[in-house]
Amino acid sequence: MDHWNFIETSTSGQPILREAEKDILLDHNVGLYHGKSKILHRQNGRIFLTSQRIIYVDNNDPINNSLALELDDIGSIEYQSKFLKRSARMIVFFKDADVILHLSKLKRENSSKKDILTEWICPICMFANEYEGEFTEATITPPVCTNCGVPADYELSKSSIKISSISTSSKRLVKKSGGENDNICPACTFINHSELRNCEICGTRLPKAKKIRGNFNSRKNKKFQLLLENVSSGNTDLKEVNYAQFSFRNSDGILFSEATEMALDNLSKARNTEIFNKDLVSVNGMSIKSPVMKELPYIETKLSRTGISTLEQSRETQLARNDILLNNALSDLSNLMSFADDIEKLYSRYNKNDISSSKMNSKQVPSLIVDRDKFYNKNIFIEEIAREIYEFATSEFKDEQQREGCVMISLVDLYAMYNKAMRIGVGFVSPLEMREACESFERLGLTKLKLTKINQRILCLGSDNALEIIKTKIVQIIEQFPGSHLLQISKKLNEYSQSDWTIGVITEVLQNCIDSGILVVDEQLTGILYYKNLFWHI
Amino acid sequence: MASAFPPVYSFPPLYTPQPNALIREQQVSTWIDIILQYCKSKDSWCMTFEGSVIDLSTLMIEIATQGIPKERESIFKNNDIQRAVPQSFMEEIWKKLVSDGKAISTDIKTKNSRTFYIFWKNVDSWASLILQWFETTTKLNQVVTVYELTQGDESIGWEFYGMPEPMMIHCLKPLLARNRATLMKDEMGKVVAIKVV
Repeated sequence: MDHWNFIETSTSGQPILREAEKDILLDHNVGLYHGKSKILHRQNGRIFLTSQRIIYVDNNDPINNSLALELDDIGSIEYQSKFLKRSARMIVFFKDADVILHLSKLKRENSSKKDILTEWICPICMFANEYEGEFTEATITPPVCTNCGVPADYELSKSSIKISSISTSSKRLVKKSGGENDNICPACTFINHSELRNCEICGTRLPKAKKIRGNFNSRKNKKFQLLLENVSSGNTDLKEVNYAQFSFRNSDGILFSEATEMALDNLSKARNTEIFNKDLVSVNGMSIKSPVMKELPYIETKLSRTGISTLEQSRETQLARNDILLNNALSDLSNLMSFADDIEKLYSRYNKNDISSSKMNSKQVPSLIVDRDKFYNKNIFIEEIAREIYEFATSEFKDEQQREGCVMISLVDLYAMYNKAMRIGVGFVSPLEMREACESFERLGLTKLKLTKINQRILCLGSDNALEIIKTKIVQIIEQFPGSHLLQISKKLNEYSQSDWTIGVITEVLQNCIDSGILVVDEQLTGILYYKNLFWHI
Repeated sequence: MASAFPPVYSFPPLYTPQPNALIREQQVSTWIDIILQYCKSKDSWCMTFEGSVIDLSTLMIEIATQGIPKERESIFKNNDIQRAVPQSFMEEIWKKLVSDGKAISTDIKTKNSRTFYIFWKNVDSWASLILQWFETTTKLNQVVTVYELTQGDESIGWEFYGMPEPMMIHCLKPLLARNRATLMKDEMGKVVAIKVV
């Protein structure tokens, strides 16, 4: 059961992807099974195959009922075609979690053996020696003391032996900062926050994710529960079930399962090949392999010489070094502070200039790429763009919505904005597709925006009461300033409500007012002036 | 002059044909009201297409002396607010005036004159007023010339005093239809006199 994860979706029913996650394919009308039993309330939805997960988005309640499976958890998949009443299925076998853990442990032990360092004190001259490898009773050739040249005797130096594991720089890093509890990316070695599941820098799945996930899920989403259809019969073996099924009610699902298989392949390939800095020899001109300068020696422990004078000497050099180090540190710190000041200044200026856009920027998350190639037929594609357009429009006009309680944009403007903002690189949608998509909003349960036809000719996307609200506003303005022309009206309107109503929308609203007789026009060479209808009855 | 007009006369949209059909209809009738009121207040019977009132006899003299009539004050032009009715809209207003029977072309036969007689009362009420005149002046069953009717001393003080003759003849038509009047024509076929019974 713990393979299923809750996934956040946007209000329009599109899953929110992670950094560096890409969607590959989508299928409609899919039901979920855990083992052999149906998962209740997850029987009608869309599934998305992404580069990291398989995401199920419920059609009825996308916000609460959506689930995801990590591709990493999947061991293998199997495809069963349609048979009589049984629809086509893709069976997903999970990897056994214990096996994975065990494997990784084994690996760690293996690797660590080579990098063991033994410290022992010579029983004759009391010099602290270091020996690469484990020094035990079984060691055949005992190490030789570097000070007095006498081979060590295990029995005598037993009490002083300290065994510590040590390895390349990355492993040392691990050890230093507390080992086990860190969440280190296997690809780029970045130490992530312990609750993250994917690397913050490169998006690679973290090896510790499995352990973390358990408590993460339970905390984040207490209501997250999966109800199976026939729980009573199979209550005991619920935990042992290690496969899930996707039932394709509409399509045959072959394409989807093939794509999944491919994604799994790619993933395992990527895991083996894509290790960042794998052939790295030197960092900033320093050879990685050489142990020199790996860390600055605060305290010199490896005394190669003996005697009081050397002790004094070393003490002095150490003091001098500390002095230099501290000076360097202080100048670095002041540099850093000046940088910080600059950044703060820059940020505040930017913030003042454009609050709204900075807000927008901070909210940006990777979105689905709705590509034609991923869809089997036009309807599915249209539905998906509908969701995307809805999402785009609601996020784009969030500020207006908050300020005035209504949104309105002509479809022509929206078309241009949407294509410019979202469709570059994936192929523009045609105006017809856009229109069909907008018409299907209601069917998809996207109710905040509606397609309305103004003046029997212009299609506008807006919230229910938008037209009336703008109408009253415009009439108010014209009442205040009789004989205003379009430019003045739009200027006043935008001043008054601090938002941007496009000229197109205003023109249409004016036209609507004229058609209903609220306003009358005065045509001049300079343009059309608008007046409130004071004399004639409608 | 502006004080004689209703406030709508200084409402700029009045001078632009409104796109809304319902409003347009009312706008035209507003114009008709304005024109009739204007003519009544000026005691004028004639108006040119361009909207200025004229006296037909003086017009003839003017044309004879100057060739072309000079620029006159027009009802369709409001200098106070710098607005004027466009030609096409004037045509629409005149068309409506004529079809409502409130105006008639001065060239009654061919109807293509650019000047109009304005009936600021409708023809029937003119006819009944004329009948009233005959009754009060006890001219029933007498032959009365049209000139006598429009310019005579006995008509002074009546609203139709000074009405152009062709217009008067037009106003007598309802009486003819009721067989209350007989027209007398001269040898040219021109109506010269009338007898009301």
